[in-house]
Amino acid sequence: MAYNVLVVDDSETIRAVLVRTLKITGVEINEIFQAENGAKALEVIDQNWIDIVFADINMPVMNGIEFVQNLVDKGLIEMTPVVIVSTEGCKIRIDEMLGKGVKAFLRKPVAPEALRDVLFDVLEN
Amino acid sequence: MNKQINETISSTIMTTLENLAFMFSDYGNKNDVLDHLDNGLMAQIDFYGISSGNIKIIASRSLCNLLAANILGIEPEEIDSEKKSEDALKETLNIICGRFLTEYYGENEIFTISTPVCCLAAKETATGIIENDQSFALNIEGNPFLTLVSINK
Repeated sequence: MAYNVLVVDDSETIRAVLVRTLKITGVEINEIFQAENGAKALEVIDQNWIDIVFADINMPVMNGIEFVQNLVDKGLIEMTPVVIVSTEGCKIRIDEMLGKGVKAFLRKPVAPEALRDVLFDVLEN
Repeated sequence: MNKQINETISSTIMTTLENLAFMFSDYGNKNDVLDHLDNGLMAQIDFYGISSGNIKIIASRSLCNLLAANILGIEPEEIDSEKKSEDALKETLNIICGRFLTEYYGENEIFTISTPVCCLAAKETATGIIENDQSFALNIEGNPFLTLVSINK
């Protein structure tokens, strides 16, 4: 099975690094979508089947916390697994997001092996 | 307090650059910054929480290009737009700020971090930061990297 992945980050550099890393994980990927903020990500999710989302927190227009809350409010958080990729290190905020249904948390800068492990954990299990 | 802040932020910068861009750094001379300011960039990020303040960094254009190339895994000559080096510097500062706040204030303090902004580093601005006693410079593969952390409260 090939998966559709959505990468959400306002940094084009980080999106490029994540896309490159995703392509070498060994997981079969159908299409990688990109969005520069939470609002754009919601549009992508509205129009496409997405198997997993990698989303930053600190973004303009709609940040990652607001994006996750939108998915919760729409009842989409269970069928659209979200992994947060952020510089955030506050345990309280991380626990809050995991409590909302976020599947995993990766801290920037992300090691390729960590991204691969999370991808396998979320998609294959 | 300021010595502890500078020790924490310098350690955070060194670790971040190693892990993000495979770049190694050491302490440098901040007076070298003006000699390397060729079209250089200044980035700033603000934070709000138990303490509020900002972090400013200044780097030469060649260092920003090298940073972008290393992050993206390409050659510096392949950096075909100024936007890429600006974006790389902003994202590097974003990561530095998030990690600095956790290192300095611990994992139980909630902070809001602004979106980083970036502009050309004017000579007057760089001079002002250099003359600030709290600023310091790292030497990153022969390029100075000027940093100033300001805490408002």
